Amino acid sequence: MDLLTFALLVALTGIFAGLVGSLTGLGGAVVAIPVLVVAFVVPFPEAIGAGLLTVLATSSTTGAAYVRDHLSDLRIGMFLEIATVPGALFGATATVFLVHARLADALLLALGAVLLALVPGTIARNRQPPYTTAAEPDDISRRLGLSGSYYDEVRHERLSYNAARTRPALGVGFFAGVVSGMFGIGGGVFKVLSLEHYLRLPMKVATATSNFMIGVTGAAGASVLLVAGYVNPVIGAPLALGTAFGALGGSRILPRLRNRTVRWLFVPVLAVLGVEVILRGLGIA
Amino acid sequence: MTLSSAPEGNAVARPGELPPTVYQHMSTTLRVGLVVALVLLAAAIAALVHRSYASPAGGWVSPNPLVRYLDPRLLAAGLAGGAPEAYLTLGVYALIATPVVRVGTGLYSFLRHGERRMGALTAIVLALLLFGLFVVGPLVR
Repeated sequence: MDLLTFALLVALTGIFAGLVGSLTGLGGAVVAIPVLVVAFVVPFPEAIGAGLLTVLATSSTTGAAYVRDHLSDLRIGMFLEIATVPGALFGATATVFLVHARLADALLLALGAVLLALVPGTIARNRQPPYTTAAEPDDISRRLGLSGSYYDEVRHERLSYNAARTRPALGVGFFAGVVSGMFGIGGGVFKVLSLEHYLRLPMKVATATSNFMIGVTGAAGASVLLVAGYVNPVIGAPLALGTAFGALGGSRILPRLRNRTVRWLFVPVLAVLGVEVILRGLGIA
Repeated sequence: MTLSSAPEGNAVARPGELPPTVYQHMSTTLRVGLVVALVLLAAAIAALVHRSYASPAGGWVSPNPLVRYLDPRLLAAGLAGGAPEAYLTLGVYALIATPVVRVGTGLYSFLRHGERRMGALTAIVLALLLFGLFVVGPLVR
């Protein structure tokens, strides 16, 4: 395969991944990395590096729009980054050591398990009722002023919110960072879990703040993998370009789609990719 | 939970909230960084294709051109010489640097508006990012 064909196919993969990733809030890398490994036979460490570049492209694309619209909470995002950034540094470092120890296949198996683990989480999020009352802030939340409000265009009213259980949210944030740095995915599902379930933010604010945060977490992981030589721009550049356009398209058509429908469509894709990655890790596929 | 039903959208600061200009600056930082990175990456890939770039044994994923340009002197020489691989590397740097600059913008904004605690937290995040790039990365290489 020549470079032009490769770049075009990878860019198309990026467009699809960016579209699906932005519609589901899980980020494009969750789709892009398994496709790179399974369809393009890219070495897993370089697929992780490319995945982090898609995370950065997605975050800057959607993050810029969400910040402009004041949907991302800057204080809460920065607060959780205290946990996600060290997590990403730890995860990326662990990946480099595992690859050096010739345990990349074990990493593949672990990624497959993470992808399959996202399936029930995605289904559960479909069933979870939205929080309708502002939570009681805890002591850290009060001290740092972790509260805000946003104008809900569907309900046509301004809604206020407070960050609640900040300590467990930091713990989940650290885990999200580890997953992001270790597998090159944004870890958005865990960040949204931390923001929505523990901090009890409204879903829109949680999703927008997660999109805003994943770029910084991705930058932390990418900086380690970059110096270790696992960020290959020949793979990452067309993927990041495609993802940025896919994410932009996704953010435009999202208001016209029902979230539940999109997520139900995404679940089988996630399950198939998870199984494929596990088979690849076992040397079967 | 409802504060008001005024249709002014989100671009008005409430008491205790950050002023709209902070959001605008941060959004602009992200957008400009993304555009610069994507233009560099697209132009460099196009130049590589034009030059009929094809990697030897192992196909299209190897070797990684970025490894050579991790050395700042070689990167500067590559940029001066118009090497597409150097511009590709610069695009990757721009993509990674964009959220880091965004954190820097946040630090400036928090301190400017007298939010010392949030400023301190943001400074820690920035320090951790730089620690990863300049300490953790070279250590694990």
